[in-house]
Amino acid sequence: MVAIDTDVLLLAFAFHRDPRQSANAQFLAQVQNANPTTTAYNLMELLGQLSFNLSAERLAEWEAWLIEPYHLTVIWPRVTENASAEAFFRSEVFERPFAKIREHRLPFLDALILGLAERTPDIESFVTWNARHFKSKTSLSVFTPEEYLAQ
Amino acid sequence: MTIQTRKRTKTMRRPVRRVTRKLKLDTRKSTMTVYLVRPKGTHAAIERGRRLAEKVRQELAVLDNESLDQTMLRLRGRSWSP
Repeated sequence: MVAIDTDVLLLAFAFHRDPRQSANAQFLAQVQNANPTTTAYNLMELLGQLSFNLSAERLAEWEAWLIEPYHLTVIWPRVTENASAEAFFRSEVFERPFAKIREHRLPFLDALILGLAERTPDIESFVTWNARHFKSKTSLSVFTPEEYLAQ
Repeated sequence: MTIQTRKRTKTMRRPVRRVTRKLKLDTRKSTMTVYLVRPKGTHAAIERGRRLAEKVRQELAVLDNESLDQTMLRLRGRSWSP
């Protein structure tokens, strides 16, 4: 399974003159056979950014225009057995990301995204146009869409 | 006496190891702290999704004067360095 970062999904809908459009579209077409996923944090980052330019009605249809055409599976954090909601929240939004922040010098959102992707069984790769930044900071294999296609 | 004590200790360790192993397995289970929501994947959902995705692309044409890198830099700060 492949986890996809926000920038790759953003490019699928916006910045039509970006020189990476062609590789991005090829990647999104090809990865459909490899169980593409994204995390709930990527999803919220994307929807938050697009909220400035899309109507509330269009945003509400996100599952239709974002999930279905790209066969995306969304990864959500789960409350562990015997954990209280308070303990889960503290672990999910503070302890886990803060451990990554201390170890790798990451911003909060990067730490949240990697934390969730890394603990998802069967996720092997993380694909982002910012691969250089992530390569030394995760146990996952990190590729740009171009690098993924070239494999 | 010493031999008996060693034997007894060894015997006592077995169930402890079993419990430890079980605890480790349970811990692994409880650290499966994610769940996946898969797409519907029906032909109708995909077709409708493609049509809507095209509309979204058209509506986001207003962003053509901006760049992905500027946007991601705003979202991710200093870590954005493609």
